[in-house]
Amino acid sequence: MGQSVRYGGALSFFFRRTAEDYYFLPFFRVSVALLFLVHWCATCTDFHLLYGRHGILASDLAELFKESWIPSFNQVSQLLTRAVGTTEATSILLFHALAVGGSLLLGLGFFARPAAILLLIMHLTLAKGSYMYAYGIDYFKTIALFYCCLFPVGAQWSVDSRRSHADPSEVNPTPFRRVLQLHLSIVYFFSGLDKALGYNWWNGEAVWKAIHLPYNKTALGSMLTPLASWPWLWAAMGWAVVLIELCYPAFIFPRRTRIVWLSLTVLMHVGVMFFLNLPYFGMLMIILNLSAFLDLGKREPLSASRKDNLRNWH
Amino acid sequence: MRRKQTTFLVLLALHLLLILAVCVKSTIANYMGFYGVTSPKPARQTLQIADALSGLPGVYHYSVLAGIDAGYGFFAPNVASEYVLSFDCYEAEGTLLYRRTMPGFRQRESATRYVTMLGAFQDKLVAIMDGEEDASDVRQRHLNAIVRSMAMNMLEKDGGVSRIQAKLYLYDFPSLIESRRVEPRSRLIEVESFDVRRR
Repeated sequence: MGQSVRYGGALSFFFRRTAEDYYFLPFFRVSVALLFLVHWCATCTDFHLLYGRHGILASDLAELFKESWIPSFNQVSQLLTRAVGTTEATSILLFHALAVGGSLLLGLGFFARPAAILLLIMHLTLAKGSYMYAYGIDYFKTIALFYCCLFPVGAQWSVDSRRSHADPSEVNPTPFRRVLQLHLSIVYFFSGLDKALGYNWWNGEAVWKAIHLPYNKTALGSMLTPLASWPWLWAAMGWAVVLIELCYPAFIFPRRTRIVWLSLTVLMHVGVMFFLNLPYFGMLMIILNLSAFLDLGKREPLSASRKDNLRNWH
Repeated sequence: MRRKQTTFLVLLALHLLLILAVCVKSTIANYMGFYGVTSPKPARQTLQIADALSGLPGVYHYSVLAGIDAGYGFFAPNVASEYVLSFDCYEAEGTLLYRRTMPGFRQRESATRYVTMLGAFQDKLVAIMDGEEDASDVRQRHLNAIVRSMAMNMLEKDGGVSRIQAKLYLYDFPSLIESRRVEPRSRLIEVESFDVRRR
């Protein structure tokens, strides 16, 4: 009996359509596509230096310990050279065209799933093929694109749904949103736990060190240096980060605390953007948080009587 | 309908279990690495189970495709140090022509990626500090080859340069406690130096 009630509860949690999830799929699809496009453009002029055969790292060294089953850009480029005789410059141009085209298609929801698969393959080619350049954002981009491949992201507000004349309400976005919500909860809990295990996060040294790293340093961060004489302030920042992350699963799900915790998390990532010089990483995390927990319910148009009331009030 | 939902839940449970296994593995490894301790038996067993589960063929490939093959301990348990790789370029008579610490990127994000690559040199410092630097170790040789190949690349691009001295530095900034006693100024601690000449 108890088990059946629990199972019923789980079914309800995952499958009962919730109004606030209404626009989850198009919001997630469009924001991930835009982020991919913007982030791609953020390294496009230096692409040859990072991933090219005659880039900063010799390609054989850059690929020495990579996953053997995922090709690098250099391997794809050489394959194209052998197959159709293209130069590396042409391959780079082709990659740019596919990345821009793929993200536009995903954003518009035109062949959304094939576009997401294309972008995931291209992304893995760079992130795993040249793994030495990969950092946090690449893992979350993989996660986001992987979910775009699995979720029916083209079911609503998309060219695909218009072409198929499908009723968008046929797809229930709630179970897919739950997947992202649970995933993010695990991410933040472990991120917080790992920090909590390091004493430097409790005494403020970690925050101090992070904003003074040579390549992460920003003018805004440097303005905080004179505050060294207030160690409690740095400790408070460290505690705040640990608590926001560690308690994320506990406070993000209950309706009463959700907006507060979501705001704190977004604020933390805004801090990462401006104080740690990681704008794209911060942007992606904000997108994932908003996709997972923002109220994306359908707003009902104002009724005629309510419009009249508002007009009279003015 | 019910069968579809049950299948969804089973697959989701497996997906989340894999994420948890990878996270537990990463947390234990990070902790042990940071404090330099050998883990107690239960932690070791957990690590073995998590390792076995996430390393299964097929499961591992899935985790790479899904982006769940690594933990999420960013800047944890401690903020890692950063490294500076500088290249002093000399002409034939031995005059220093210029010093370069960053390739000629035009975009900031490319520099972020380059700095991520420099993070690999942490292995070198750890090996030196533990007194375990082994010149024949393949990882160490890989890092040395990276520096030399970058220098060779610069030699190829600038005919006026005949010798490059590449130096790997650890960036050091006073801690919060130290900053209350001394002026917070950064310094570079030399880790290793490489001499690369035109052949």
